[in-house]
Amino acid sequence: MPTIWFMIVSVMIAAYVVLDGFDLGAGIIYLGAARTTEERRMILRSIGPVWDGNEVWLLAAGGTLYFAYPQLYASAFSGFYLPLMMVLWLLMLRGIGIELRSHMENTVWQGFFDVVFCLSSALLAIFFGAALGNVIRGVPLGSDGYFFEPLWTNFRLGPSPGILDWYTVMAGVVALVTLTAHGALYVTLKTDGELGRRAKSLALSVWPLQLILTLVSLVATWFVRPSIKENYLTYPIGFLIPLVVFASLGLMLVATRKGRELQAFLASCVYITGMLVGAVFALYPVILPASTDPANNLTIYNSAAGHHGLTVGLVWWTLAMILSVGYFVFVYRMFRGKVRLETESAGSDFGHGDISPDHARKSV
Amino acid sequence: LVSAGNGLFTLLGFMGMYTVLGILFLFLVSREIESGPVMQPAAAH
Repeated sequence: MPTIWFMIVSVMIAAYVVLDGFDLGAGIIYLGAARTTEERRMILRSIGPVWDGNEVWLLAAGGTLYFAYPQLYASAFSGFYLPLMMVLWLLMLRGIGIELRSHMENTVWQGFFDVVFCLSSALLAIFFGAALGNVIRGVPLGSDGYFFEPLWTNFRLGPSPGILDWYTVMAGVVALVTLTAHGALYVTLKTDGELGRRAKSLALSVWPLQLILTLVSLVATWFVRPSIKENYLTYPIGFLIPLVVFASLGLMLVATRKGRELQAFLASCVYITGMLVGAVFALYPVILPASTDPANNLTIYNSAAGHHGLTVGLVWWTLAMILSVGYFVFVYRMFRGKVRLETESAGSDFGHGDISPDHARKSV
Repeated sequence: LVSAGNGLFTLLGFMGMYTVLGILFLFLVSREIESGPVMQPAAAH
């Protein structure tokens, strides 16, 4: 049962990164790709009906983590307290940037909220990457299962590292570049005209950097945590994961060049999922490694909730997931196609009244 | 296990953010009230 919940939590985190990743990416390229007010409104409209729903996957993943592995939740949320609060502030600032922009006609205020939206999106990508880097590298867990990390020390690895060291900063940069490409491919898919072309050329120009950083991060992870190869050597089928990662990276380039926008975006989704699956495959059954002593590792066995609770929870989780997936399929089906700015009826670039681009066109 | 310093820092952070948001909310609501409702043109019969 702990293994099933390990997979469930992993799937939910992957769903969050893939789904919220594209609207974070749209925010990252927001100031660079969109030059005019209309283009900026177009990007906001392209993520309009889905960005807040996507963020709920983070809450759902956090709630599931709390339910299935309370010891991990307690340890990680106290050890990562300050960066988690900063993530919360950035999530708030991002929402404020999106929601309040259309309430201010003043160009200075609009410019201010544009910068808030773009900057908070980029910082969130870096924070999430650094968080994953911390989990892979390990944290100074004590025998009581708790730890404290300063934000940074000397940027070197060791038994008592800071939250930011060279490896976690690199992980943050990998996340930033990955989500930039992901967001650019999404904007390419959802818009046309000059904005779509600019987003496409941005995705193409970021691609070589993404390839280099993927290779560097794999080598660095091998160096930082040599034990990651154990699961791969025990279960050689795991070597398919890096193959899928590099195949999807190649497909991203080919499909983008040939103008197959949906294929390129889906390849980016597979790339992100592959990177995350590769990490959790290497870590299993450890969910939070200790940099102090492997005996202090938090695993799916020593931090899981009781068997009865996990069994009952599986029933409720399944029902909730059927509802959630049904809702998401409905929303994305309604929202399919390119976005347009042909209607002013909604009075907002992200209002829920103009959920469908087709509906928006008809309502002109 | 969160230190008192971290707790105080985040408390001040949340207070600051909600204060700014509160002021912004009051400002925007008062502007909406001052501008009044948008009158729709009467439908032709």
